[in-house]
Amino acid sequence: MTIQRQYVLPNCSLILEGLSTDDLNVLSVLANAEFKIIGVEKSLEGGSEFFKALIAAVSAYCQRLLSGLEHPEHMDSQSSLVAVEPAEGQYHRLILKPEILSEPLDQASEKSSEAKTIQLSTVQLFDMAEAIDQFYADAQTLPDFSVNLAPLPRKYVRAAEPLAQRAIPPVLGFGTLAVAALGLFFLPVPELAEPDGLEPQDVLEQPLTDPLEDGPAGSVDDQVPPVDDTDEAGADVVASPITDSAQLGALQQQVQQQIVGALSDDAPFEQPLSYQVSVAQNGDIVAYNPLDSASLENLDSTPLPALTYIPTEGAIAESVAQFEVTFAPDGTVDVVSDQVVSPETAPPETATPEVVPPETVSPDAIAPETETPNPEEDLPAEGSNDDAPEQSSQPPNGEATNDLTAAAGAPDQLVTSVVTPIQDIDRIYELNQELRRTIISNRTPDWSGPELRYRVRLDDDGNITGYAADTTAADQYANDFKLPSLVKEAPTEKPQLDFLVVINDASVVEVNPWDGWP
Amino acid sequence: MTVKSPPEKSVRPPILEKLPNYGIQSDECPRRAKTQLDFIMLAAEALELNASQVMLAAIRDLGLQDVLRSRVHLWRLRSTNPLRKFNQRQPLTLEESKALVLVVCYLCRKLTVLIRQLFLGYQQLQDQQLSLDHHFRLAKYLKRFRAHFRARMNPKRAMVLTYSTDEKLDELALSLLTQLLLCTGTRGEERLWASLFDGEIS
Repeated sequence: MTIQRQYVLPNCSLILEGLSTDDLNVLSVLANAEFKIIGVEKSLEGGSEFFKALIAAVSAYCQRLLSGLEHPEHMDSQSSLVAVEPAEGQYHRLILKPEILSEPLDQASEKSSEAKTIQLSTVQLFDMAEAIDQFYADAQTLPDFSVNLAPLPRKYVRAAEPLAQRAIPPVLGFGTLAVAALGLFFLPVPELAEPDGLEPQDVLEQPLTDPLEDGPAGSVDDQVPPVDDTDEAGADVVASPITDSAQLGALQQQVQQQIVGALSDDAPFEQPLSYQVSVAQNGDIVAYNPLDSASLENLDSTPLPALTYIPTEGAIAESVAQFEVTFAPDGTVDVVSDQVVSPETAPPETATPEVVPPETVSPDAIAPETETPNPEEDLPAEGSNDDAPEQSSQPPNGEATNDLTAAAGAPDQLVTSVVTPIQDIDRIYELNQELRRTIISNRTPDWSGPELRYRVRLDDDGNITGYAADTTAADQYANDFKLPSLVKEAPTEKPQLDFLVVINDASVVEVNPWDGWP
Repeated sequence: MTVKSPPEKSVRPPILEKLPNYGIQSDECPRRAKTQLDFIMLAAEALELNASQVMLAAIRDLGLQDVLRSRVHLWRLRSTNPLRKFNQRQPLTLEESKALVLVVCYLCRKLTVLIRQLFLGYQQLQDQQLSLDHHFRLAKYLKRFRAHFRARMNPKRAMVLTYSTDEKLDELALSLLTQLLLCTGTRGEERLWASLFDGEIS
């Protein structure tokens, strides 16, 4: 029997006609489906194929309206019979292929040659969808038909940008990295530039004038203000730990004057108080340290806390001299030089120009100092501790050294300091080994004698460019080691380094860099 | 203290079973779903001033108190929208989003008449080529929606920036109105729920 089902909505009604195959009155075979849309002249009619295609397209289009993502079911394509597209404003276009409308069913519809396009408002479309949903909810009608409402799989979502465009940023990034890496590959690894002041040759360059002028400088303090002393030190030597006794003497005077000037008349302490005081180059007391408990207790009765100058950040690197200050109960102050301290961690060139204003230096004060260096004074002051007293106390010995180096053919190269020292520690090690082998291979077999010390200068290629006997005996035995014949001429501007060669009485040869290992 | 009844088990409201899980592995909603749900609620609020009260009533009527516990909880769930100014960086679980979908559709059905009226008005305006201001109720809706949107969304977000003009916001409001209309349907919940995961399942 024929069954008709109607789903009526304000703008659209759906009428389904079909047959029931069982007694439960379930419409199971669809004969005709008809959409009557208010405002559209002709109702849309068709068979099962039409109905299936239409409900799939409309339903999918509703999902598109909700999510904004195109579903394949409602898209217009070759194979699709029904398509829905958005139109102007709130309108939507329903596109129907003619063949499904003109199916020769029992109620044949009109023929049309081209796709039929119907414009539907949102409400009309919604009513169509609602009719479809009501039909779907009706278990008595066409239970085999299903309207799938599944989310759109990811593969149908077209990326907002094509792959080529999305690939541009990472490709650009990697490309830039690669180009930068390639460019930087050809750049040399930067050398570690150590501050010059830390280099040992500074000690070599430091003139020995100060100890010679020690006596006069100490006595003529009134004429030479201490500032000039520091200036002189700053002008001559790049790095100046307070080592020279002239400066120490000046500082000592200055500190004493400072303390005596600030000392109050009455001394409220009974026993002598002693402090260790650190003094900067310009005479400022930068630190003090009580040496016993009584000194600590009576600290406030001394002028030290008031005199102490707190150094600022930049001035921390200054060299300091240490004095021992003793306050006697009778009001006298005794300042004794304690020891020489030079901060090793600080790069001295940062400290000296700031501490020493160069404009205070009068050219007259400097001129004699800068013009007087002679070879004898250029001998190392700090190279070895036992060296300096030996030379200052035994002038004939120093002369002998000069004579012998003259005999060796390179008199000037050793007495002047090394212009550009070799800095590469690996190279120094190699040179050290090389020199040792050279001396061992050149010594007279079965040599015996007293301990000998030589100062031997090597250039970067390992050539001996000069030597000096360090002890008197060493000079006599120099020919036993063929040292004079080993010396080669070399320009002084090449990197060089001095080595200390010690041959002891058992003929064991030891070689070390003159200034110690860097 | 005597306990007369066994401890209450948290029973999932059976109404949530209406919405399938679509084989989604994680319990968290995708980003677009959070945004869309909040936008739809925003549009509903622009339509109906009393919408938040109606939503609370809907929670009671639908028996969803276990999932949407309070007004504050509802607000916190809405604030999972990443475009909000006061974005709560917490997940929106599938269960919570299902409950929100049900509440939204409940609210939409209450507003069916108004939504249809607005669409008829919109259609008339479009047919007569008039601007949207000429329909009082529609203009009010659009104005309110713009105000809501600008007050609550983070203007620094790129997506919010695309809605910087009134025209763009009106466009969004009208497309949301269409979504509200679709939510009033018989299968509104299913349609809205399925649309939340469009392009998110494999």
